[in-house]
Amino acid sequence: MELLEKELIERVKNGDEMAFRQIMSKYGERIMGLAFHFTKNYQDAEDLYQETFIKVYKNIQTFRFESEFFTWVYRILANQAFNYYRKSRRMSIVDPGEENYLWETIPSEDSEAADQVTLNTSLREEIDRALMRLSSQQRVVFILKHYEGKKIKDIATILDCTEGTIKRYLFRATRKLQTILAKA
Amino acid sequence: MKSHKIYEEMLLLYFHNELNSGDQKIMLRHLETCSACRQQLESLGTLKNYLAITPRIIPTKILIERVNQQVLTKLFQTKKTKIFDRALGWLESLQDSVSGIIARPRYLLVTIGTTFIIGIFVGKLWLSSGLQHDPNMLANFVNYQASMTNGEKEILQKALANYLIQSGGIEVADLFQGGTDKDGDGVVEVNLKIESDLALKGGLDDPTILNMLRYSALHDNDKARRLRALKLLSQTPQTRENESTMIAVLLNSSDQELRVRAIEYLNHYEINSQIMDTYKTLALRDSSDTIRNIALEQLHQNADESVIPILALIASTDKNDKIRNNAQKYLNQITHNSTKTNYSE
Repeated sequence: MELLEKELIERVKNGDEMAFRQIMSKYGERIMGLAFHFTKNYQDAEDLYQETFIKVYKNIQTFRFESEFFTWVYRILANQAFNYYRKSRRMSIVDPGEENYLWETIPSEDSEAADQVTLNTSLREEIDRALMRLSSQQRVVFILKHYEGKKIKDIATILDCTEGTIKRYLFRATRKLQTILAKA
Repeated sequence: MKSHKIYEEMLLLYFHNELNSGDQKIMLRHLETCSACRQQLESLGTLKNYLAITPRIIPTKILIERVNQQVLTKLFQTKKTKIFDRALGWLESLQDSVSGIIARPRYLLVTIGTTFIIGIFVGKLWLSSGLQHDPNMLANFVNYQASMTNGEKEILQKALANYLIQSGGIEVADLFQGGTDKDGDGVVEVNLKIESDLALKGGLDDPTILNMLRYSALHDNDKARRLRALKLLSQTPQTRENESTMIAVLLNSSDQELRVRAIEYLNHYEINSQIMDTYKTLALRDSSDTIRNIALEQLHQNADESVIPILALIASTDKNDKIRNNAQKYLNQITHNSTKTNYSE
């Protein structure tokens, strides 16, 4: 862990508001992006982001530097996402919400694929709809794997599960998505 | 030779880029020979394409800053205003509930009645709290309640009895039941005897002390105390209440010494119609020659036309020669002056 990050965390533990602001600025973009992938709705993503960081602040005394800080934050975000799924049981696909000018759409690095996006704007909606049909565990694991590029081992740490469990969720999600998209 | 089931799992791991370089080589070799796995990989290609073409959606820095500020506000301002907000929230919900109930027409009368009762209760609280800081308040209230009804007097007596019961300075002198009241269970009369003396301390400007002095001057059985009370009252400012007390002593007391003291003190008061009427009454009717003579002197000193028939009456009817002569003398002086005044006009 970086010395600066450790110092920041210590300062947050002592109630330093500015240090917490720095922490949020440092990880905010990644957490918000992932929150959007989890919720597929701008407003819900903001709510999830806020709940996550409020939880981070309130529970920071329990962080013992035994894992990466960001992994710990991810775990809180994932738990909040599970709560979100349990409460809302919905994912807004068609209308992600207003204020989308506060979000940027970065085309895929694959230029050929990027062209395809412009040709077929409903592709994203299709895969989102397919994701919605997964169980919350499968969905979270798949998102962490393919949108965050996490390794199975890391996902297991984040979700506090065995690698075998994560593999099972990932494989089931893959097969289910494969079937759904093949029909699309 | 590995079981094909293992390759199926390895294929998924290969697809998710989770194989190490060694396992990757094994998988690639297997794919060269296994058509089922190749077919499976091809169908996974559709999903891979979907994932590849999915654009990334990222938040702007403006959004992050805005939401961060909201988080900080919730965390740090919530801390400071938590109790206040909770109280405010409770009050608001109470207000909503109450306004919801009183808005119903059938509860309107109940609401008005409740408000009235609460008003009385608050007023009583205010009065009692005021008494702690100003003991004169109740005394003033009682002293100047000239038109206190019997019901009000009864309430005051009961309040006093309750107070005395608490202080232990009271005993029941007599107790009997008689008559009937509205609910038919009879009227109980309790005569109280105050056992221990109540000591009051206060200056001559204390309304309670003044009230007690007036009471003593008029009703005390002990003459010495009445005289002392009158003397003390003469040292207090000339008020209507003190003036009325002096007049009442003069007109009602049978003791000559008391009446003489009272008229002496009254002579220092600024003359008015009530005092003049008292002097007229005394000059005509008092049994004491001294008092009649003093009253006559006062009528002479403050003479006006209304005094003439009184003086004429005294001059003709008073049993005391000296008083009759004085009355005649004063009458002559007044009528002479009056005649002179008329000529000069």
